Amino acid sequence: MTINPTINPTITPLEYRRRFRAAVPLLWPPGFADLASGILRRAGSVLVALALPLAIFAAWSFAARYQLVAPQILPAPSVVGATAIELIKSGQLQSELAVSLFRLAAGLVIGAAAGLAVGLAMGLSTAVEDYLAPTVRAIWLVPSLGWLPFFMLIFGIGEALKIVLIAKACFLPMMVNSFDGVRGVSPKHRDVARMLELGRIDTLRFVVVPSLFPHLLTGLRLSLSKGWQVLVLVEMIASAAGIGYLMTWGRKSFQLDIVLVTMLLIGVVGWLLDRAALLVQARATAWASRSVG
Amino acid sequence: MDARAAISGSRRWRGIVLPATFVALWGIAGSFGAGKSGLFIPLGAVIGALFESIRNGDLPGAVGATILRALVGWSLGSLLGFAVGLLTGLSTGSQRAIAPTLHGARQVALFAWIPLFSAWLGNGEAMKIALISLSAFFPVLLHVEAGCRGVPAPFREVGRLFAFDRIDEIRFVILPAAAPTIISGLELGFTIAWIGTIGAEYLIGTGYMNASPDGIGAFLAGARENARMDLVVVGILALGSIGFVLDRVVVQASRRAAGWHKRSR
Amino acid sequence: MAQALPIASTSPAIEIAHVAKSFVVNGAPLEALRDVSLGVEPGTFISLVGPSGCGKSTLLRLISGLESADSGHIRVRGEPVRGPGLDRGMVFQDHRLFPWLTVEHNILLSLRRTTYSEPQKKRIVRDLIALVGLAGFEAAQPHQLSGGMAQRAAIARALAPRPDILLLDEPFGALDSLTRTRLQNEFLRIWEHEGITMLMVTHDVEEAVFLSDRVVVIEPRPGRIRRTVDIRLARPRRRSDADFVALKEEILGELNVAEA
Repeated sequence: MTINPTINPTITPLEYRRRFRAAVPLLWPPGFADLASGILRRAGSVLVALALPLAIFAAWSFAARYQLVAPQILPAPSVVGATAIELIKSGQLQSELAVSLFRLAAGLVIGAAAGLAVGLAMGLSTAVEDYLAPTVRAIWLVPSLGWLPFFMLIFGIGEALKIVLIAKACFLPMMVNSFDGVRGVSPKHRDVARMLELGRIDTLRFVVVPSLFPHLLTGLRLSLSKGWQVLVLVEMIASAAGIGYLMTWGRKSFQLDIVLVTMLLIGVVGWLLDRAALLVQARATAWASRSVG
Repeated sequence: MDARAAISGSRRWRGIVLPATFVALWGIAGSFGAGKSGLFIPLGAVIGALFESIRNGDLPGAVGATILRALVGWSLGSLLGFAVGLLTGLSTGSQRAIAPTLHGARQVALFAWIPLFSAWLGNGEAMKIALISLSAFFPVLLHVEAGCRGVPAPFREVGRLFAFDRIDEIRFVILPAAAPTIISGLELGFTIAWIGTIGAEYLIGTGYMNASPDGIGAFLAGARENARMDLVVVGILALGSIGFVLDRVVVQASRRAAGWHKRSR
Repeated sequence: MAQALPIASTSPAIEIAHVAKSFVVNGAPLEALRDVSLGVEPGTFISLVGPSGCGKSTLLRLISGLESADSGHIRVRGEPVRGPGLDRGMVFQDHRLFPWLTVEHNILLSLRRTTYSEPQKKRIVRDLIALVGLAGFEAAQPHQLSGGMAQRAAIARALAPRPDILLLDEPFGALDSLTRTRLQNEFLRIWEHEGITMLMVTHDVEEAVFLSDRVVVIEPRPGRIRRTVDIRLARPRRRSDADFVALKEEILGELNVAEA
């Protein structure tokens, strides 16, 4: 009555996964009626979702228009909009964002590469894990923010500081996920590999790497979002350029319109980065499972 | 079990090798007078600074202020997150109305709220507590929501068979079933609230805004401002160990609170 | 295939008339039940047997009020079913005890909406725990119980609000055969003690013949009643008796046709 999930030893788990994935679209044939009602439902939920932001916006406009709050504390939406357009027209927003994104990219590459190397080494060798794990855990106990003053005294407040701190933040998610990826290879799959008398290289290629890959992408995505958070922080504290600096400058000169524009930008860019990483993750995982096996 | 314990026991020394080598090198370098460059601080100086800052009350005061602040902010944020999470977790309508806005707000990096909060609430305690609450708010909210939505249908059906009304269902089925998820939300919320606390204290303590700062974050910021590397290292050590202890306390307490989940595994 | 039932002098405990139910599964409609009619007299033990996916569990869920029928009507003691009620208890294949409560508190919780006083509730729980043979395990957590013990607790929980009807959805289906046989014997004793109407879904024909006054064979796609077989064997029944085996074979034959 129930299907017994016994593994056919002549078919690799990867082949199973490939076949399963290939069969999935056949199970849900897309119907036009479903599509149409889906669109209507979506439109409805978008309208419901917009109600609260619109209410907030209306209250904000009302408060600003009748000067219920001082304009330095709450600038009118129109002022914020005008500031946004002005910042874009003058190119300042783009150039600050470019500075920030460059720092993020540099920190991410360094931190993620180091995290990958250490995570893999620890995953593949229990000796390395024994030597490194307690130290890494201890360093991890102090948030990136705690290291900031330490790094500031060593590296000053130049470009190196930002990149080192972002790299430090990106290191851990990548390390943890690559470690989990290596260790998380199912013992069942390892047994199948041994039954098939796959060599060490083949086992790595067909069993370890494919199951590791999704973990690496998860690690990269988490590193990216951690890195973005730390970037904003370090730019707020010690920088003369970048999006975080622009925000702090707006606050210091009591131009809350600039603060609000930069907050919005930080939210949107953070969201876009995460979306993009998710998309890459979905694509790459699908590609990996198709191309191998 | 015993064999494994023995192996891990015999290997435990390996974890100490790296820190011990580091401390030894640190000590040796210091004894050769490497400390004169200014940035390098001999081991002895750090230990001295530790005792000094404990004796003059700076460190205990900072630790106490930080812990108190973190706990107050975490409690407030968790309470609010719990309430809103319950609302969105139990009512699909309110979830559809509120959740998108909250998810939008969540995209803004935590510390990017500081300029706005400081303009609205000043640089005092209110602003710090607001930031810490916000940092605990989202993880608690998301976990409560997910916990309430994720109660298995079979459990809900049992409640229906007992002719439970909505209040009974929430009290006797949904909340107990969601408890493990809610608890891990509270744990995560605390981890993030701790970072939020240090961040709020640090940014206020940088002279970025004029206020009377206290807490470990301000201790670190002050030490950096005066280029006292020894105090910076002391601050980092304090930060790490207090964070560790508090995390353990929160985890232990919550494990006890939601014991059924652990035991039934 | 509605079968004319002898009109009993008492009003039937359950009255099912021309019930139909469909579900939408992966975008395609699935007819679970078509024109099902059945009457159950008070105090009798009825089993529904049939291949998996024949809609027998759906029928049970309709009677419990967890689902509602698309057409036709279901009455319990003359009252139309509008939703779950304490007059009908239900036991599932998975015991569904709340893992965060002890055995005692699981049973006690089922009495929440009853009007018994607290001491009365305590006594009902104590008596039921004794009846199902769990004395000494009042304070046990569900995960500490074996499958058979958990199912006993689930039966006690379903009996606690004093239902007129107990609905059983493959109650012994997840147990090993030794435990299953022992629990069947004990369950018979519980039924005789409580004297309430039992409606059980099972795919084990021997179990159905052993326990029931009547066995209803259901055929699938769409689910409908194929035949009802009265079991007029004297109790206590012996599984090796020739009459017993003959009835079992007869029902198995019906099932094989239904499944083909």
